[in-house]
Amino acid sequence: MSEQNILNPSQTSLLNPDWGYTEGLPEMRSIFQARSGNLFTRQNSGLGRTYDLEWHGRDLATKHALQQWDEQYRNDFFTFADWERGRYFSGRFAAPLTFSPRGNQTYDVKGQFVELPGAAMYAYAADWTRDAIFLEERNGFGEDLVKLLTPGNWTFLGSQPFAHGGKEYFSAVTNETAEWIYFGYGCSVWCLKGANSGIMGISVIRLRDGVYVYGETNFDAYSASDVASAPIAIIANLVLDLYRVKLRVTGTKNGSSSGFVLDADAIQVMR
Amino acid sequence: VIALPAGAPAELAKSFAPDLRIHLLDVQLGNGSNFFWSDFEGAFLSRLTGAVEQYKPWIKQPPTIKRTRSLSADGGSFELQNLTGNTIERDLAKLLRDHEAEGAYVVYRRWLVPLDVCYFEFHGFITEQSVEEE
Repeated sequence: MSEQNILNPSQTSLLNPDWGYTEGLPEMRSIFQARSGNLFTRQNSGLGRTYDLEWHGRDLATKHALQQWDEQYRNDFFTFADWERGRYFSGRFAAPLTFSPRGNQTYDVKGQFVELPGAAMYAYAADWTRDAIFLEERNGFGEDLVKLLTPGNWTFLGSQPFAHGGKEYFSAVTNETAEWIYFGYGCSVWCLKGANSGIMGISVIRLRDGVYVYGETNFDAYSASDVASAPIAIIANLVLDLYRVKLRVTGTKNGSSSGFVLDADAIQVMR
Repeated sequence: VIALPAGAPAELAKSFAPDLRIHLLDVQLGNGSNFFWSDFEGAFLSRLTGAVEQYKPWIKQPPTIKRTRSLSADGGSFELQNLTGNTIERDLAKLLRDHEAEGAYVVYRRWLVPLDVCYFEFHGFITEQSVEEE
C-alpha cells in the first residue's frame, strides 16, 4: 500500500517543490542518423519519468520532514503528486536528497524523483484527450507498427474513411492476430464497425512476465451501417509497463453480420 | 551465412520500428539446472527447454562475440549483476559457489520482441568465470 503515501498530498502542502522543477520521460530510443540519409530509431528500454526537484529556503521542520521521508522510502516507493498535470506518479528518490544550510535556520533541498514502472498507482491518469497517444497500424513512412501473425492473411486498406487515420489492416481468417507493443499505462482499442464485422477477442499481456493482465474478452464490431472508428474496448488502470495488446479473429459473429472481419486500426495509449 | 527467420529482414530494416532488440542467455549447468538471463525482463521462448521461460534481467554487459574463421575457438564474454541476494551472500556468487559452472552450456541469442524471433544465435561453453563485488 506504499502508493497511499503521498509526499505532497495537497496543493498547499509544505512539501511541494518550488516552481521551476523539470520533468519528463527519459530518452528510451536508440537514435542514429548518418551525415545524410534516413534517421533510424529503436525503442530500447522502458523507464519511468523523472522530476528534478528543489525546495529553497525551507524551515528546519520541513527539512526534517523531507529527510525523514527520503530515509523512510529508501527501500520502498511513494506517490508524488504533480498538481500542474493533476496526476500522481509512483516512484522514489533516485539518490539521497542533499541539504544545504543557507543561514537563519533555513535550508535548500535538492533531489530527483524517478517513477518506477510496475509500481502500484494511487490514482490512474484518466484524461485520454490530453495524455494519451495513438499507435496506428502503420506510421507515415509506411512501416508497420503492428505485428501480424501471418502478414499474407491481412489486407492493408490505404484509404478507409471510417478508420482512424484513414488506414487499416483487416482479416477474416480465424485465429489470425494483430499485436501492438506499447510502453505506458492503460490502452483503448479503436476500430470501425460495419455490416461484415465479426467478433474480436482482445487481450493484454505484460511483457515482463507474460501474464495476461486482461484476459481475452470478446467484442462485437457488427453494425448495420458503417460507424467511424471509436474505442471498442478501454483497458484502463494498468500500471506503467511494457504491454502487448493482442487482437484475435475469433471466427464468430453477430447473427446479423455478413462476415468475420477484424479491423486492426489503432490503439490509444495512456502516457 | 545467417538465414533470418520470416519477417525479420523487414523488421530489422525499418527506420522507425517500435521494436525492442534484446539479449537472451540460456545456461545449462553440468548438473542439468537451467538459468535464463536477459538484459530485459520478460517471458520469452527458450532455446534450451522449448517452452516460454521467465528471463531474469541480470545481464549487465551482453556478450561481445568474436568469430575467427580459423581453428581458434570463437568466443565472447558477458557480465551479470552480483547485487541481488541477502546481506551474507549474493545470488550469483552463491550460484557459482554451489554449482560447477565450468563447462556449462550457453546459448546466446539476440531477440526481436514484437516479432518474437531470434536473428542471431551462438552456442558455447562457459570457462574462466569470476565473481567480483558490485
